[in-house]
Amino acid sequence: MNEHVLEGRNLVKTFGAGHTEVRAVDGVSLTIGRGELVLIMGPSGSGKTTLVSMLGGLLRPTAGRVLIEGTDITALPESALPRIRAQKVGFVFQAFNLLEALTAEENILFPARLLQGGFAGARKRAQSLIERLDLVKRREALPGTLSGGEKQRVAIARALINAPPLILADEPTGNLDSASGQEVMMVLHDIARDEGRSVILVTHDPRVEDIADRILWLEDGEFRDRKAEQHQWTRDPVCGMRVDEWTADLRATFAGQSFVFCSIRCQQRFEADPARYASQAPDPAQDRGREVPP
Amino acid sequence: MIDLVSRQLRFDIVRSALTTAALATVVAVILVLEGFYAGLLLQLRNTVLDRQADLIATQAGIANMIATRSILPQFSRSDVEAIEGVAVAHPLTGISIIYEQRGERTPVFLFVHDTGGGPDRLLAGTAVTQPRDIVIDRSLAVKHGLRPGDAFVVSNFEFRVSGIAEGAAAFFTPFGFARYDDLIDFYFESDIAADISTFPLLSFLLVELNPGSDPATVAAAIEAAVPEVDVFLPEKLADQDESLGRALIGPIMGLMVIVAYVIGAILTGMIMFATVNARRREFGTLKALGFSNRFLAASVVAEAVAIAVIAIPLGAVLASVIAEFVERTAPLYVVLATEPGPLFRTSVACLAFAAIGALGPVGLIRNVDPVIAFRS
Amino acid sequence: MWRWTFKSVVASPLTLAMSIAAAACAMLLAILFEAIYAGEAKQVVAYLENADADVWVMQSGVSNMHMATSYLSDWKAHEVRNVDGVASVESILYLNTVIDAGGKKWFSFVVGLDSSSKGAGPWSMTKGRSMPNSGEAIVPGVFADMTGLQLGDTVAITDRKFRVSGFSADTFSMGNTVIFVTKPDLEDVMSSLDIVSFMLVKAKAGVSPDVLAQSIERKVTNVNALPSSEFAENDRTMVMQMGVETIALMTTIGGSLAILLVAFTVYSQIARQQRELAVAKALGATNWMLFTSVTAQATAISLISVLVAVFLASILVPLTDAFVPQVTLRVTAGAIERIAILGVAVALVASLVPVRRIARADPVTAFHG
Repeated sequence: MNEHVLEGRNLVKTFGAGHTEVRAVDGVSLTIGRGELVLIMGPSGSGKTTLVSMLGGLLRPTAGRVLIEGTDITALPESALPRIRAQKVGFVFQAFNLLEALTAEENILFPARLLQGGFAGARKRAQSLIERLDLVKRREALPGTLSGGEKQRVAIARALINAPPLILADEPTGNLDSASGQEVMMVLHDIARDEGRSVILVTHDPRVEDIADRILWLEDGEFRDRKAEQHQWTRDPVCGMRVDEWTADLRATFAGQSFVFCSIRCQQRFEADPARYASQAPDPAQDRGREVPP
Repeated sequence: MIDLVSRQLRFDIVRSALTTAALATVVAVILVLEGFYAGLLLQLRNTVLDRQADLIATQAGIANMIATRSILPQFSRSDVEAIEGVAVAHPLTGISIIYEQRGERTPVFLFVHDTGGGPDRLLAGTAVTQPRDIVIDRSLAVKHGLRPGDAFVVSNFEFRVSGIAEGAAAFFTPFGFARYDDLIDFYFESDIAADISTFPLLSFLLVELNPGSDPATVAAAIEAAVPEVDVFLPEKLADQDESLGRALIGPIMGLMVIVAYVIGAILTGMIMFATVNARRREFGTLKALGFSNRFLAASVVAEAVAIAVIAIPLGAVLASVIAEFVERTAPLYVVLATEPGPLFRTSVACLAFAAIGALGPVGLIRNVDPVIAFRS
Repeated sequence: MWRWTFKSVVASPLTLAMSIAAAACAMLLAILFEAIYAGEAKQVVAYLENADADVWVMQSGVSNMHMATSYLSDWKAHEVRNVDGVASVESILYLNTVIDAGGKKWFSFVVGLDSSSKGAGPWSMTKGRSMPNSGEAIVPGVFADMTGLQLGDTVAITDRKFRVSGFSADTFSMGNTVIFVTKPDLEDVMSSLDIVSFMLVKAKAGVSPDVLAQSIERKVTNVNALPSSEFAENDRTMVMQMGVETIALMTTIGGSLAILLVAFTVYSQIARQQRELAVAKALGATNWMLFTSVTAQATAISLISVLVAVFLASILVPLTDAFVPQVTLRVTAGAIERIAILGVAVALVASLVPVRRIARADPVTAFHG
């Protein structure tokens, strides 16, 4: 039996063509084992969502292959993908994406209805998920009346209803307060540990790092070695604001020294009179390697 | 505001197109129904006016031409012609017959004429010149596939179609035109005419006046001298036939038009409600930005009115197309789809529906909480 | 899936109710036009069906009563009476003209009755006598209600005045109102003598109307004899044929309106659910599943509209009978069948409108917060 639940090989996704071409994901490979909880982190625009969309069969890669439990889903016709998504992948979204007209329980059962014969045992599974995720009192509630945490637990139950081997969660705590976020994280952790499902978690939330088996750092469409430190703070030479040198997009070089900016406005001001700002700039080394006090 | 409205309409072009099309269709339906009714009335008028008489004499006590039976004594023709100012009195008789072809029956109103009162406009063939000639209305020709030269058998009597007339129909019935000699043959061939005088032979006299004669004076003189007849100006007789038509068909057409108006009202209300409902969040944001309820309501009303303004001419065009189509495929009917009266009424109603329909969801706008803008 | 689409539709009940109401009205429009013709057709044959005759005899070449002209010499009644199988013969004179009650005019059929008439007169009365005497007329009660006529008032038929001596029931419609007078009076109106229009023949017990009609045609020259059922059917068919084009036209118009209305409802629903469609696709729903559920949704809306339209028609018919007596409406089983087929057609066409929106819903957008 193939212990790799998910395998991505040399995945490339480009948008546009010619001089407007953007390589959102550029030659990424990864394997995820059964029961593994893997974190995908990286700055905004690094290609995380594009990568997860390809892994979940929502987006076709420009090049490369995706195998779920050994099935090459990139070789399948478009018409076969919905079934793969319903059967093999459970999605959890940042915006919850519950169907507004359906009750919590109906939302949970929705993917089961998409599979022929999948509905037979689904009610029982739904019942146990509802109990497990502490939704017993809210099963008949409409999404509009649920709290954020409850919504996300319903979404997780929905992702699990067809017992998929792979769960893809995109910023599942992004819209939640810290207590609810913590709770959702622990649920995902338990799913991986107790049920042997593979969980890929895209997040900015540093609290999750402690429960992850592995952390993959995506930057400019590629996996890179993540720096030992989480951030490398420096200051914008124009306004003096704190900026993370690793993730900043706006850069300029003057007199052999590199500068990063908080905004285009600051960059433009700097470029208009670099000498003035370069001389005023604090010594970057002063902040490097440690948190700048707020 | 205008900018906001036009952007809004262009934003979801399919939706705007659907709503405009729906409203235009309602306008068209109302116009077609009204036009159908107006056409029926016009046909009744034209039945009288197309006979091209200066005065029309009917049996005393009879004040209509269509759907009635008028019988004048044979001698009345010479009596009328003897009156000063009368140039000639053309005899005219109307009888109902039924034409049947391959099991399909069509009632036909046969005008029997002699020197005047025949078909007003011929589309094909010739007027009645030979024995057994008959001119039939285009609707009858289209319905039964008849052309000039074809046989036309009624009650075992064979006519020959000599020409096809246009606009010779009224009250759901096409007209035929034949000559007196043939009518008498037609009666005789039926082999039951013991006394031909018992059959209707003279229904109306179409009076032609000498130049310079005053119609009213001559009419009074005829009525005084020939008590068996009543004399009408064609316009007056046409008015009376029209009002008979109104009494008969008016209520049902009114009912249909009311139903169409109800559809229009519901439709507009529905469109505006759906439009506002779909944009609650946007209205919340605009309210959070400081736009007043009044401004937002006004913009919704303006949007509705804008749709109506596009839909009305579109509806009128659609109505003309439908009218043209009806007149082509069912030439029995005249559809006056763009008469100024109904067009004005329908436009006003459509604009009113739009404005009122838009005011309905104003309550919805008032209830939109600007806080909605901060929720994800 | 269907549960989802249905619940989504029901989630905005007001919009749903309005669209059903409007689509139902559009369909009602289609029903009404046929109802008018069917109502007239019913009234056209009301006299034929209620007159007591097994076989009708008329002028050769004529096979309808209404809008036809039929003349027979009255002595032919004796010939008909002598045909084997004939129990009795009754003759009527018949004229279509305009009746005038104090300036209010109505298109009517006037039947001239023999004084010995048994089965050719009014079959149901609301007031007064059922047989007219000389100088008297029996008019429909509805016409009296419309014009304020009382028993003893006068009506004019051409230039002759008649005193109203009875009000009949079930004899009134837009184009087929029946008035009864005596035959001599009608002969006087028509300036005719020794002429009849139709003969009503009763068959002896055990003689079939078909066989009797054939033997009358064999024995009596230049007449047409029809069993009463066939005679009535001829008139009914003719009226419905007269309406074929307008009925088809209104069905098309009403149907197009209904398509637009249902399409608008379904499209609005789909437009509002654009994001949810993307989510459903991400969760594994296929385009086909979404199409079929939209079609089901459109079908449900239009079939409910059909039911509402039929319901509205069933309310409207007695209401018009009561308040607009000059309009006779009748909803036939055929009309309902036709409107149901129209409903399905409406649903199918309307559900094509949002197809593109469904196909274009991109599951990836489910990730965008």
